[in-house]
Amino acid sequence: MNIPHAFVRILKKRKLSFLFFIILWCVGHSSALYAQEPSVTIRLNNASFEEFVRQAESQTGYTFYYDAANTDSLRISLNMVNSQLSVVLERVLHEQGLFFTILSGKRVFVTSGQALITHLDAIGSRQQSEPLSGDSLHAVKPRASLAHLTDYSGDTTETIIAIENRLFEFGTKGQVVRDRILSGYIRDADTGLPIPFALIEVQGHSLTTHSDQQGYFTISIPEERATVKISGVGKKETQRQLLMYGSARLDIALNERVYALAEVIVSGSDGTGVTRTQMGIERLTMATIRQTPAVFGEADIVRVILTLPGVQTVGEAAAGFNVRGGATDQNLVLYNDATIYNPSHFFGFFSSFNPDGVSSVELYKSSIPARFGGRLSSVLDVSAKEGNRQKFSGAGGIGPLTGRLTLEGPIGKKTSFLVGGRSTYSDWLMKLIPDEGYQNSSASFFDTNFQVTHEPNEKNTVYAVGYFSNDRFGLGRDTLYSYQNLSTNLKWKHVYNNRIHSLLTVGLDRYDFTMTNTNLEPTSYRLGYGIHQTFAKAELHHHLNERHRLLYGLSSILYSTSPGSVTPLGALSEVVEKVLQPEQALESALHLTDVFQINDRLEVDLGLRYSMFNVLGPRNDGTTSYQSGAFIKTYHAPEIRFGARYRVATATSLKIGYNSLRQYIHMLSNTTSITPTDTWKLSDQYIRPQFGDQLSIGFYQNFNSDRIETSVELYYKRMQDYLDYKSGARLLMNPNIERDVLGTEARAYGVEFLVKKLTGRLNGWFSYTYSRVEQRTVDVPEEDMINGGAYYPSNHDKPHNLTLVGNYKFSHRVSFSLNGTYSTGRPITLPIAVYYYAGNERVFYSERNQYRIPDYFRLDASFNIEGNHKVRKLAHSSWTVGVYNVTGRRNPFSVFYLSEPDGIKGYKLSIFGSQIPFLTYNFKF
Amino acid sequence: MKRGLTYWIWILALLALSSCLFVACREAFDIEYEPQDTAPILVVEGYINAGDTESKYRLGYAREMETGGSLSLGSNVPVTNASITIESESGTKYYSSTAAAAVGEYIIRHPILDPGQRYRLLIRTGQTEYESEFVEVRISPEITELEWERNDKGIQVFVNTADPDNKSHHYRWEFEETWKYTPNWRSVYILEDGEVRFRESNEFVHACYMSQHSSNIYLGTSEDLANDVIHHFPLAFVPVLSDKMTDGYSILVRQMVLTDQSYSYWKQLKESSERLGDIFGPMPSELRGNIKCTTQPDYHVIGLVEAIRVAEKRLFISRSELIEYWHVVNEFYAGCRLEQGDVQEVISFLTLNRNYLMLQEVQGNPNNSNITGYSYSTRACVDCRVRGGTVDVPDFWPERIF
Repeated sequence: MNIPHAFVRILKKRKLSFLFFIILWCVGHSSALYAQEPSVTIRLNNASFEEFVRQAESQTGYTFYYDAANTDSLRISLNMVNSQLSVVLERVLHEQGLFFTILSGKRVFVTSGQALITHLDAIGSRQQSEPLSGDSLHAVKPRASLAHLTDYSGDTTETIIAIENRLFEFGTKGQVVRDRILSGYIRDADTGLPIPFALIEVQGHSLTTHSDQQGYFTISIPEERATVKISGVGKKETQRQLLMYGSARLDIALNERVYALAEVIVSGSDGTGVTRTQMGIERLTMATIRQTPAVFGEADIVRVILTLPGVQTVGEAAAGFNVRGGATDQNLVLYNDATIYNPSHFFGFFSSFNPDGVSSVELYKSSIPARFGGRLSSVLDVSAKEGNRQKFSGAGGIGPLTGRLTLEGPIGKKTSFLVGGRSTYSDWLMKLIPDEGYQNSSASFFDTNFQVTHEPNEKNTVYAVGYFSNDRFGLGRDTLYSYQNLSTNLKWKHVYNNRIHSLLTVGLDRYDFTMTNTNLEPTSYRLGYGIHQTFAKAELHHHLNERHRLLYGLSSILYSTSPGSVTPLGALSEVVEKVLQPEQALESALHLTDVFQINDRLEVDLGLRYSMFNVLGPRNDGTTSYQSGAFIKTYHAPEIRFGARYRVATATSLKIGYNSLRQYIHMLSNTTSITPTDTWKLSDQYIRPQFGDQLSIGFYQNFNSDRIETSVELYYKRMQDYLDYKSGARLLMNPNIERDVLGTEARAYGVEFLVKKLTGRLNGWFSYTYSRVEQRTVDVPEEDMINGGAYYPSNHDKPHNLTLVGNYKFSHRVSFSLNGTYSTGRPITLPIAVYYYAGNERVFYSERNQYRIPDYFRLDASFNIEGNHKVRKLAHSSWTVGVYNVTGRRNPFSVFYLSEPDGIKGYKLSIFGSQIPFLTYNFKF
Repeated sequence: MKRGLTYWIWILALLALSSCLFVACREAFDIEYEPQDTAPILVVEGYINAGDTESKYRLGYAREMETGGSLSLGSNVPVTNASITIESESGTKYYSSTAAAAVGEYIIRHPILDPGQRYRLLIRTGQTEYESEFVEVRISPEITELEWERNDKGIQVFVNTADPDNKSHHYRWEFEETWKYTPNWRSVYILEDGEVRFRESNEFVHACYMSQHSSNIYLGTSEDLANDVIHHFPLAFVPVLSDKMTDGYSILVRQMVLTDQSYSYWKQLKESSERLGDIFGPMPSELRGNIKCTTQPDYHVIGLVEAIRVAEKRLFISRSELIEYWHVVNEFYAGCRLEQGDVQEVISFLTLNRNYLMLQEVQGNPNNSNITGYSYSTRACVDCRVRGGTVDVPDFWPERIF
């Protein structure tokens, strides 16, 4: 008997309602099918077919192939002890009109309508003889190790189902290969845009991988005949049938998932909580971000980040966020590899990212990959969107405060572009302030971004990215603040072969602020600050074999800062020009990560980073003068990034991780939240780098076929050498800031519970976090100690936090989002005594942060209404209408006491005093 | 050169739309909390007066914070059993007399102090001893000029000063405003033993003078400027409709020069008690002066010892200098009503009701000057002293020019 090497699958095509099956390849030899058939013991009560398969597979080691569409309605009640597999299958399937075939390689095929024909052959030549419509099939070169197929070309007439069932054959039969590697891009079928973080898994094996930010993946295929399943959030899950005699490249297209109303959506989520080795990674798609109600209706990445467990903020309007007890300057904010030093607009109401220019967002709060470094607490990695490769299109929106427009499209066949902008017309808000002085004030911001992607050939891709943001706000007529981020970088991705690809990035990032005061001519001045960095990094992704995936590389950042300058403005100004010495430093790192799959259950992520920081001349520290380029001080240390995952069961895993990190750059700030006049200081001979490490343990369990993910993560974290300041320290224009800093250490610990459902009509997540963070001053003279050197709660220590983010789809066009947050009030310092001094009542404060402001609670709701879904429409539009702070609760941002002519008065300040309704219009063409 | 306050004020004002309707509001609020127990906190106020032969100090204890209700207003709990000593670096000591110790005031007499010496303060209350660091004498340059400007919000007083020796840099100002005010009506008659008679010139109660000490901390610095000059620094502000401009307004400005340390102290004190809330504001920080408790190191002391010679300047603004008319709305006299009645009726009413005062006569018939009655009103509406002022004309008050 011949063994068919082909995989045959029979599918029922709903619409056309006819059966068809393709048998592509039948060769080999079939041994006695039933002779060594195993026995199984199965006891089930009203179980799903999946459950049946799981049991049968685990007892027999056989792999089942079936179309879920045929079996999802099956409910199986069975009690059979030690029965032959075929007997059991007969019993289960016969009445359902299903057939089964057992083939060599311990495979069981379940088909509908007809059993598998195992004796057919010679159909395999079809691929060579008939070019497949719409697909760019690169000729399968007999000896080439790399064949390349693309199935995403736009005008395909072949149905998705046909593609899913077609057998893609690579290499030559009989070829001896050590192993088979499949690589390629995952792209959106409509736009050709890469889909980052799609899950690729080899069915029947626990082999999985994710596409990277450019949509590129590499995976080992253990057997010649394999099925890979590809899923991405918000995308229709698909699969590819492979017959691999060698390594190959296959670019795969995913379609938008179309929600059918009457049926349950089969999970397309990537189930990554369970499968991933790393912990504490949050991935957000723009779809999630857009449907989350936000203040003034502006879709905002950072606002959504704040709903994730372990992420806190000191208050509503506060720029910056705190991850697992970390300070706001301990987050590395990257926009396509560009470091954004001030990620907020308009005093922190909005984050600096135009939602139309973003494809995905990842927040690493625990396991920080070794390729990242330089900040202690987290990495917020925002991926810019690539331009549409198929057609010219655009998107935009109009909200109460901002308008935005993004255009994208192809330039020729190999290049695409995206350019976007956003601007505010918020001055009307100023006019609402019932004070003439402020009506002369203005606040405005804009940001622009562009990306050009050029793919000269399938092995090379070049990305050019640019970002510029600017904020200006004027007080009255005479004081003007402005700050800007400017970043640009160039990235070259080169695929050497199926196993190795590299990424080389060079770029520039700048952050500057200026403040001008022209109140009086004699004292008119301009104050400036700037930090500039030039960086280069190289990364090599090396797929060693199915057990080892390596990632290694090196990076370097050359910093140069202008810590401050004051210059006179105007001829009459008597202000003396004062310029603080510029600072220079070089931060370099080598990193190596091995993702080592020890067995099906255990995978470890071994990462090591060695970072070095050279403080460079020229500088004169009063006693010594250093030449340009001289090494004033060098710090270097290894950083460990370790993670391990043990898969207890298919839907259950345990993880452990240890991370250590170093931070060589410090934000000088003695306010509770980030302000535009906070500056960054490089480590030097006096100010040591910050050190932090974190131990975390996690338990992950998926339910209901991975539709519901749950997790519990525990962590303990230490931070050393982070900066606090003496009472009354002056942070701006201080040439000897080291004399005013206090060494501080902190400890943080917590537990995060998360239940997440990302698919279906009802989706969203619910989290509860208990976390603490405390700090104390160390190595400082007793009189400078804060709270006598004892541990005290940090500003962002908010022990209890509950968050609900929910979305319910009423129809294709209407969905409802609800967002709720509760947290303990943040610690504050309150007066404990009152005294009369200098003509007024004044207050004497307690030790720092001994009290708390009242608890915080907020509920937001919005409706997202889409226009009709006609495909050939000039523009697709959608409306978002909602209310921020539905209950109108006046959550205190702070409580404080003021000396007024008639005594001490207690006040609370709430950022939002009432419900804030909003309406935004978005369009896409 | 962090222009701290204006920036924060502006941010807050932006957020603090008073209606609470849209974005942000500030509202009165008393948080409920249990203040920690503290050891007695000594408040030391005053300065070593290097320009005169006596220095005044006031000692008190801070009061416990009262929560959940209105906070009491008043002075500190006076320290009556203390002794204060000024000691020069060379060891010369000057002791306090106990003249006014009952209200916590202490006077230390001394010769004009040598500006080349450094001085410190020693305080003893019972068994507890405090001492300050030695401080240098800071001599203020003369105030160059006091100016005022009127805009539609009111009148703003500015100070200009300069130190040609370029040694002063940090300045602090205090001021005392004095103004004349008048009730709505003038009392011409007085009822004495049932008889109506004219008031003598020394019995008039329709013009009073009120003084008010500055209650905020005014700090200026020239450290970023080429010259040690302060331009146009705003001090007192007289808002429109204020009765401070009823007739004339006088302001005495005292200028003190601070060391770097004391500038930082005053700045912190100002920020922690006068800034407008907290959105981007610095966190309240512990205020540390230069006085320590030597017997109980954990006792807190509020206050800063400074040895200073003050410069003073006075500015007078006459109402006639204002080009536009200055409307006065005096809240204190807003509810006053004028009553009148027949002569006998009024006399018998006022005899029984001593809180009413007689104003002027009422003439029933315009053709003759017979007094048919009197007008009267409550004492608070008539006697300007009830409001807190004094009828004595201050000696600095200018003679009437017109």
